[in-house]
Amino acid sequence: MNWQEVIAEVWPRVRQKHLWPELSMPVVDEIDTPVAMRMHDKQITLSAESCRTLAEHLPAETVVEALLDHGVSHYTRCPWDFATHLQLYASAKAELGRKSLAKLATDAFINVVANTSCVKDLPTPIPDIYRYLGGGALEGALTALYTSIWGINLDGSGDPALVRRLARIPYLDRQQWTHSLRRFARLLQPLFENEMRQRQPNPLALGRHGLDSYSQEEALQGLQAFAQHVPDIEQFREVIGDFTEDLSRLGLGAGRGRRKTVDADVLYYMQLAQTYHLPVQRLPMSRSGTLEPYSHVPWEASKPVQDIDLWTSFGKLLPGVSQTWVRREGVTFGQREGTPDCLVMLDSSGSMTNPREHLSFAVLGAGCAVEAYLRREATIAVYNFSDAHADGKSVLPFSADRQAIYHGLCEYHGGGTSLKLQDIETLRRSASSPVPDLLLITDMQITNLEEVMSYLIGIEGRITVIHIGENNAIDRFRHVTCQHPRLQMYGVQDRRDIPQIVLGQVKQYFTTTLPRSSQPTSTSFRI
Amino acid sequence: MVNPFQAFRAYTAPKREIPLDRILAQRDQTLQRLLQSYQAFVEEESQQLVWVVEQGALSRAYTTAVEMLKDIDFSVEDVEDMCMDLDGTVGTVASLGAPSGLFIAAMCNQSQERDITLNLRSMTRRWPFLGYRLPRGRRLFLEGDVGDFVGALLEGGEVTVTGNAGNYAGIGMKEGRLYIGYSSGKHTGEGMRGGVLEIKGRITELGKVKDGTIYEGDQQVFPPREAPTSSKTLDSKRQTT
Repeated sequence: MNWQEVIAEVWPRVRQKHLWPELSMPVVDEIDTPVAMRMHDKQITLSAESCRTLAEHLPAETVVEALLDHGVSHYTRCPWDFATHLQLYASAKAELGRKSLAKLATDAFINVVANTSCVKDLPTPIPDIYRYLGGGALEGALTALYTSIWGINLDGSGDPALVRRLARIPYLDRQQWTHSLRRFARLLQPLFENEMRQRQPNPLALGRHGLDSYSQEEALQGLQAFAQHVPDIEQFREVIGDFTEDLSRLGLGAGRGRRKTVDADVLYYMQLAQTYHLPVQRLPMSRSGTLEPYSHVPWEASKPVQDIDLWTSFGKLLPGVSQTWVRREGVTFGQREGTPDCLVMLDSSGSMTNPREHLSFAVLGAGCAVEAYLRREATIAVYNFSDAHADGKSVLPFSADRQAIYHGLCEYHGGGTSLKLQDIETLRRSASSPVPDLLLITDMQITNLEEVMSYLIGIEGRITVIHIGENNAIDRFRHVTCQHPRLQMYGVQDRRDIPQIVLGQVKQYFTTTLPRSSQPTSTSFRI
Repeated sequence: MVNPFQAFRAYTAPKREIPLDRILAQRDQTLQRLLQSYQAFVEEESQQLVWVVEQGALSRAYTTAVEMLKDIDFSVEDVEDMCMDLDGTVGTVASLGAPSGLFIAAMCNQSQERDITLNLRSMTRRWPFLGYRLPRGRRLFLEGDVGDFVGALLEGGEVTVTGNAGNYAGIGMKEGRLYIGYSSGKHTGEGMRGGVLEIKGRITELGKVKDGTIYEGDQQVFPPREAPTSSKTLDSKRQTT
């Protein structure tokens, strides 16, 4: 039988039933599940083998329509998107603990929801194929559940008490899916364990669902939503760790060899930071190009006369006597504003939270700043330090590589805290923008704090300081730098404090002259 | 201008109903009635400004709970859902320790089924008095750990706990069987007047037992096998090491 022709005949009817979803024409192939839906290119594939087997009992059109209904309902109903799929898996994992069981529970739940919503909303032959799909004890219990909740006898075999309990789960209530899945998983746990013991490759009659069928863009959005949803990094790492292969196939960089744990951490902070949009004050970056009179040279007959300085030429127009201006580009900045590069100095000493163990507001804050600068096409350098004088530091030169930057931020050194100012100066000079911004994130318990304060006061450029917690050192820093026009301090104790940060804010933008009494000294500021 | 959708104004999409809708509606309705009864019960009990665990208060509270549940037709699944609501995992009903435990015990004793299984593993609360006055012919399976006073005043029913039990397990039980899969707390079997109490793990401290049989692991600890005739007069308080 030409299955592609059958599909061509049935597909318009299926599309109409499902209100014309944007899906391409399904294809038939030799695959190991009866039907597969690839979310990234919206392609449904039917298994030729399954179609042939089912067609021994049912008309070919019925088989194709039922399989297509099932495939489309994964796209239009459940799991719908990557984020929902991941959240469902996370709730199953929380209940069952084991990856294999959680995956099986999620797949079974997704099938029940997709099938049930199809049966409720549309005229569909899905119940017909369940009479012939077969399967083990788990599929038998699910078929008995279908008999109970669809009101169609499908000859399932399941413990009546179990089926009664399963039938009380609100499968079609999307708001309760995570809670419903936990109940579903709890009730079916013995059957899941039994199926896994038998090592049956496909315990579910209509196949399993992987995360690699989604597009990279959708996966990124899903990870972002999931990072916000989970209470701590540990749960994120646990769930993402289960999908390292799928995510690697999507090109998300998680799970590459030995660095997979770090990658999950990086992914967490990266996705969480992208949900915050910190403002960065822009400033004039390029000079206007105006040529201004700079010095005198003797005028020669071949030179133009318009630049002759009449005041120093004694009113004469004579070579050797008259003087003309030499012009140079002035220091006037143009109207066009931009964002300078940023040097992030992150304290990862023992007094700071280890970003790999718990959510670190320091790393999250740094990540938010990184996102803000990268969004404005600036580059970032990372100076991650603990006791820098004892080589407790890691340095990333100015770069726009998001992965590398986050790797730099997520490193944790522990130990004491001291800053090597020479390193900072070297990094600042390597920036492509003339005066890079500086972001310091620390709890201020720095051994050479006085030295650091003097340095920060003395340098050009805008400085944003984010302090974690409150202590005497922070008070001291605040007291010394409170008059600094280009230094702003923000305290972060909670996620809610992060949106209040304005990067590169200055107290006085244009101050052209200073009173004589406040000429630059070691404790005053250069504008 | 003529509205092109005028013809569809009166159109309503056909609503298909499957048995799942009916099951869920019935579940919601029963749960609503149970919650209302529970609220009324809590209001009644909260009038007693200080709730003291003593025989009179327990008996009165239990009778009130049974009275509240008299006209409600509910199944064991409703009891499970009610427990989840009281646990705070689904609803927002206040749980009140002893009164809540008594209400659950009353539900178990009044439900249509004779065998009841409650999965307590996923619940955060440990209600006391589960299995209170469980009558003959009924079996209660409690999966996970339970709180204090489990199987109190047991009246012939069978209570099986798969996890640990709190203090005063089997207090005042008259007849029946209480099986605890792991260990029990202090005053185990306090005032016990009959029945069998089996603790598979260890008993932290035995209470003042009047009658009945108590096992710790495979060993009979009350009455002691050496002198079964004088068991009633023995002070059975014993500290395990």
